[in-house]
Amino acid sequence: MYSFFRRTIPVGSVQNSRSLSLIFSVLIFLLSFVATCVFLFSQGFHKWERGNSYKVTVEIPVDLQSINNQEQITNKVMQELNSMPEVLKIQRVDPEKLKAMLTLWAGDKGISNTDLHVPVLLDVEFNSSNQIDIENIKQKLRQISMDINIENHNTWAQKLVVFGKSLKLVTMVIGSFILLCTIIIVILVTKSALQAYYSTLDILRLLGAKNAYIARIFQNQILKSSFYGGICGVCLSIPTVYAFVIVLKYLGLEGLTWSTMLWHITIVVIGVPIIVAFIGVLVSRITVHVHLRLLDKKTSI
Amino acid sequence: MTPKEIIRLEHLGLRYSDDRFIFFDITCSINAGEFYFLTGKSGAGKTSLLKILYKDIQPTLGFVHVFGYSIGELSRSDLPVFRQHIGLIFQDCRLIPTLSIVDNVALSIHIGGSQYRRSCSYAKELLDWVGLGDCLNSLPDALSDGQKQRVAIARAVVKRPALLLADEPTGNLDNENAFRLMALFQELHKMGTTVVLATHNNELVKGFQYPQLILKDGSLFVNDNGFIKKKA
Ligand SMILES: Nc1ncnc2c1ncn2[C@@H]1O[C@H](COP(=O)(O)OP(=O)(O)OP(=O)(O)O)[C@@H](O)[C@H]1O
Ligand SMILES: [Mg+2]
Repeated sequence: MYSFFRRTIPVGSVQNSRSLSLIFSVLIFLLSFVATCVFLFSQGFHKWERGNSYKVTVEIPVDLQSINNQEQITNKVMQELNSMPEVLKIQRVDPEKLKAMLTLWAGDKGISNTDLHVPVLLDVEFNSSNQIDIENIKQKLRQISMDINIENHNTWAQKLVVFGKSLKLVTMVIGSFILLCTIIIVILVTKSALQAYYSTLDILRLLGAKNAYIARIFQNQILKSSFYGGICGVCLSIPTVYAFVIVLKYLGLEGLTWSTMLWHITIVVIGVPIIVAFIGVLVSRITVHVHLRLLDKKTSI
Repeated sequence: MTPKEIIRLEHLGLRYSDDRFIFFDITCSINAGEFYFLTGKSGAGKTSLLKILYKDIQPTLGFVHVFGYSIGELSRSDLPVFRQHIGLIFQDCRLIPTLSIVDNVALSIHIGGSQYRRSCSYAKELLDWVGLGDCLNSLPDALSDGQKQRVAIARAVVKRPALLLADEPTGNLDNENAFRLMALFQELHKMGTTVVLATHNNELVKGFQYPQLILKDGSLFVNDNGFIKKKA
């Protein structure tokens, strides 16, 4: 049936029947890649946004007069924090780890383990369902000691999230642009075939072909081209997209478990050609109908 | 329009862009199941009259009724179904150059909703009958004018139309082949198809006992058994 329609009015390049499939495969490949990016960015940054919004680090500086004093303050602070309903978890950063970090820039010899006093750092995690008033907490803790400081990760995380969102937006714009290109290509290919095979079109209509029948000739071929293009596009995009995902996973920008993510991405990669085929068929159908209506108006029969 | 009438022309007139009327004030009717030759000198307007009947062009004056429908009021969406009931043979064949001859013939019934395979088997049968059984997969360009004409005839006949409008269907054929194809039209006519066949071939007209519509000086006459009178 396809070949019968194709021989009646060949849509796409007359010399090279595969060129339309080739265009489709490139567009589908690009769209799959972009769609995966949008998906990953939204997942990754969503996690960052969620993950960092509810964490702060409380810093109790070194008290040079008395090391015991620092311990007392730390205990008081932990008590105070524990009494707050919004606090979920408090974890003291291991002083050995801190020292190890300092060794990195001060050098082994610069630091004698016994006499080095490091600030106490407490990682505090809040219950995400409550509204957290960092300023209020700071006020309360400073009643214990004026030197206590709160490092709010939210500020820089928020910036990162804004960056992520704009990245996602840019990717979506690029995706829409590729989709627009697909639509334009389908319109151009359909229109040029309608014009090049004007006399065939005329014969078809004299034989009693309805507009829907003529539209089917085009839809059928666009569907076939997008099918072949889709297969090539998927074959190209699967290794690329998966490699990309592995890189992102390595960079720690994933928001889901490994298997769920692969599953989601497979759906995206397979869904894109289906959507492109559907849009292509729809656009060619509309183009044919509009063209034939305009023709009717011109001939006024 | 009586129930028997399949074509009714009322005060029909046609003029192209110039001032000259090709024909003027033609009023006549053709009943279902009749067979007419349409004759007239070259340029008399035979093709133009047929074109009006299948609504390829609009008349300048008058009304046309076919199958009981007023052609002028036929909407664009009704036109395909209307044309599916008419078998058309064009003077210039008008085959689709990219389709094999069997597909050209099959297309005619496929358009009407028949399955492609079944359409092809009918097409093959008929092409066999018109003597083109061994070049079913040839493209029209590879055929002689006479062979093309036979394909065009097969394409019009295969859908067993209620009305057959044939414009010089035997123009490129020798008399032997022309008479053979006339048998096909006769067969169709016996099955109830109304036939209007435009031709220059006087031997063909004389060889069959069908009435003759004559386009002359812009009017339509009928020659029924030697009596020539204005057709009404
Ligand atoms: N599209 C057109 N525009 C202008 N004039 C036309 C057009 N088509 C036909 N004519 C003129 O109308 C007249 C009738 O043409 P038509 O083709 O109907 O004649 P015909 O009887 O079929 O001739 P033939 O026997 O040679 O086929 C001719 O004089 C022709 O020049
Ligand atoms: Mg003619």
